[in-house]
Amino acid sequence: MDRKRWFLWLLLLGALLLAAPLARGYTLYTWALAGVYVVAAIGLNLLTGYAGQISLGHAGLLAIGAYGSALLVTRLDWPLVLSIPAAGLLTGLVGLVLLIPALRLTALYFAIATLGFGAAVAQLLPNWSSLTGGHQGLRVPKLALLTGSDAERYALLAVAAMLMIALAYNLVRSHLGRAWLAMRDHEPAAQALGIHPPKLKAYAFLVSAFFTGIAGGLYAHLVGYISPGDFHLGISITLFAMIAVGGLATIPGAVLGAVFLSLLPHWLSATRELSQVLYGAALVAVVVFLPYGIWGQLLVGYYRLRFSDERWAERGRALLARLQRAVRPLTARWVLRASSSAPADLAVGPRTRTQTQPQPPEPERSPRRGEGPLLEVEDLTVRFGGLKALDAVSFAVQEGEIVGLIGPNGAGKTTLFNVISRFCPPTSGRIALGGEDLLKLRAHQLIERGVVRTFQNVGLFPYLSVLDNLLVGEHRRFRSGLLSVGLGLPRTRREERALRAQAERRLAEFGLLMLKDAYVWALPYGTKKLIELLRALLAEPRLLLLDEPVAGMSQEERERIAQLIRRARDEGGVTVLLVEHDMSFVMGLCDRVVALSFGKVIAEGRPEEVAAHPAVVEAYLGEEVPLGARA
Amino acid sequence: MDILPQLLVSGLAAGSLYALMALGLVLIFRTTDIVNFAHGDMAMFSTFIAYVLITAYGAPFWAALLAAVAVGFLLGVFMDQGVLRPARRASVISLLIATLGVALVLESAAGWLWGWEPKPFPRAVRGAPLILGDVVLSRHSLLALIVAVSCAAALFALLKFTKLGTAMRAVAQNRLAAQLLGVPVERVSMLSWGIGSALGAIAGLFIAPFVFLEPAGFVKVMLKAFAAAVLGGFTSLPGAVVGGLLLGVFDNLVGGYLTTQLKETLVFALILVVLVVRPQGLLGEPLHRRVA
Repeated sequence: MDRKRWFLWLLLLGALLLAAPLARGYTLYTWALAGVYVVAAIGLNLLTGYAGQISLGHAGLLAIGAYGSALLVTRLDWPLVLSIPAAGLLTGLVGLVLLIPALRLTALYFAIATLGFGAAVAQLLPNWSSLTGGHQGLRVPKLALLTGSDAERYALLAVAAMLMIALAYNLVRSHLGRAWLAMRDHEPAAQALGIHPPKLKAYAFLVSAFFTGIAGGLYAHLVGYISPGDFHLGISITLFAMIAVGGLATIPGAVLGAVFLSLLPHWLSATRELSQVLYGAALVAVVVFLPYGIWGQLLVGYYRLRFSDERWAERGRALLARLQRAVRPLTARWVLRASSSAPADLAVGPRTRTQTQPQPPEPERSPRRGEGPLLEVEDLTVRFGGLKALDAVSFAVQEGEIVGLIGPNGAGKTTLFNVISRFCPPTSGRIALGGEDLLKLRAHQLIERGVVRTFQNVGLFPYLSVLDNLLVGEHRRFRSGLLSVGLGLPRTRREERALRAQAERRLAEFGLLMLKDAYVWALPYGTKKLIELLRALLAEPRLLLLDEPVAGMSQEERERIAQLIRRARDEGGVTVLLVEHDMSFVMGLCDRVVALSFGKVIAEGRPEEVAAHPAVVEAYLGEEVPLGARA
Repeated sequence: MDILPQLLVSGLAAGSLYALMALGLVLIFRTTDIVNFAHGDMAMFSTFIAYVLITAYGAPFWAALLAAVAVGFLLGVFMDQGVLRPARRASVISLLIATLGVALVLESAAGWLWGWEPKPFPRAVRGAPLILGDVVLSRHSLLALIVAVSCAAALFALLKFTKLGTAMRAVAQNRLAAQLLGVPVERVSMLSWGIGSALGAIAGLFIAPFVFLEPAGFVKVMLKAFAAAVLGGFTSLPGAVVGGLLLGVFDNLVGGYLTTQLKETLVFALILVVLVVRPQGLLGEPLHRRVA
């Protein structure tokens, strides 16, 4: 953290502490309890909001933390300062064990399994009375430093909650936090960028359970008494409601939701019997009227205002003009207009007309030929039930070549891509990358071998900024582990700074630096495709797999993308295999074309030869020769 | 005396009611992709309406049943049209919270209107239990079994032979394609919600005599229904029936031979084992992951 942020933290903490003398006993207790919920809600949010795994059994973890710490203190005489973190670690381990079924389950089944976990813990607590004291519960010493007053406990809780919030911030602002979001929103794309989902999920479970365990320990020593009734199903659901109401996948959202929902009953208590009804109605109302939660809605409003053209049109030209005078360019469109001085290849937006002068044609350079083929596909067959999606497909791609893969819909092009990028296991056949058996590698290992792919429907992560999207592509270069990330060690921060600066430099080289903080979902389609391509190029690929790189783009954009791919090959030595329906694009760019139909290679050779090949013409069902169709 | 036959028969009787609850859940999930966490509380609320009719107005059981089914249907329609439709932009997680919110409203409203203490609920039919060798089966349980089986059969017939049923299956398979082909998707999901919750209300009325009726009491019943649906594979209607029956029998065997105190814990363990071995449930279809 930099000095300014430290200052802000201290200010906030100071305000919280100074507020203490203003309130009296019970209010202080309620706020301290809200602190407990803040920690637990953040824990749940790390798992559910960030890593996308729904848990409805966190009350079970809370109970393990509470009883764990209580037993360490009462039976083994541990001091609280040790027992609470130890309870957190213990709960973390339980979280890891819970993970094992989760790796195989879809999100829904996992949610219900966690519901069962919560119910099981709730039933074990009263029955295992030798340890838990049964229904009578356990008396435990309260948190105390000097006097043991309510105000002191409140202050301790405030400090503890602030520490945990800082820890959470360290995590979500790191490469791990980005990887969680990436995995949640587009697992295949995350895998293709070198993220190994089981490992990241394990981290999420460990951390989430750790936070919740700490919250459990804090709860036990705040209240001074725990019993099975404190950890029923309703608590799991309340925690879940907190993060949904506050805003998923944001730390302030979890804090707001936790404080709001733990104080709401307090505020509603005047309505007596109706308070529960109103509480439930409030939940429904928040979801209906604020679908992204309180904090999420604020964020969405802010970013809409900041990055979307349409919104501006509505709000009138005056605001637009004022904002455009600001130091930093703010919209994608304007950015792209402003960036015409930068290398223009990447300055593509859907409606941009920045380039009135035609570019001089790229010098024709013959591709570098290596000794053997870079990619060799041999006898590849993929069967889905009775259907042969690929039928004994063989072809090779030479180092430095740009090869196009064409064929009518359903020919097996995307399946072939998915097999090469190791998402889909082949029924039989062989794939070699520079002589190495590619089928021995797993999807997340390919990027280390220089194989990088893009996706037909844009494999970007919509809720990450452009810069963060690029940084996910650098995931494999981060060396820091969970512990050093959580503690925010200087080494980790240096690493983050260095890679961030490098990504920013690259973005600047392409004249897109002004877009770095824009959320991807707010960007126009063409820009998204372009940024995905840029991310793939930043990974310094040897073999670039492009799935329909210019689908749905304008003529001008198509030309720019073609230039960019050619430049990557000519200057970066990148070998390219691309699927594309746009024949004029394929004809103009590719050195060689492979045509597939019904899973078989029906023609292979120079673009003009393949386009004129009778089998290819027939495969396109007697349409005009595909060459003429769009050219 | 060998208690096994008795445990099996009572297990099937209880299981058929879990199956009925689970059928409603699965029907709703298939057509609208939403897991209804208010399923238990909607059934509880409908059952309370029947309770009031029977105890305060002396209505016969069947009339109360009809009223409960109507209330259940309306609650389902309200959930679809009044809560979920306006919140369509929200994430799945938020919609889940919305159903939980409705559950909370229903539960606390029932507590407020009728009190939190458990109430004995009258059986559908009285009279001496039927005795067959070692097995004793109450008339109520027998009727429950018959009703559950006929409801399931009626649901399958509805799905198989009627236009509405075909539309429901179409929406379940591909909502967008069904809409493009002119299926009134909104109405189909509304009716699925109505029918699904009405099934829950029927199950509720027959379960209530076993467990007593209390506002907070149906959460456990709902957990059983979830467990049944998960066991069977959440997308399969026959799976829900099989899951419900299996669960009822397993529950009773555990209670009869092992322990009555840790029933829920062992049920949870069973689900985990099944899911780890077969992640898609017993009759569910494996979910293929789409890559691009």
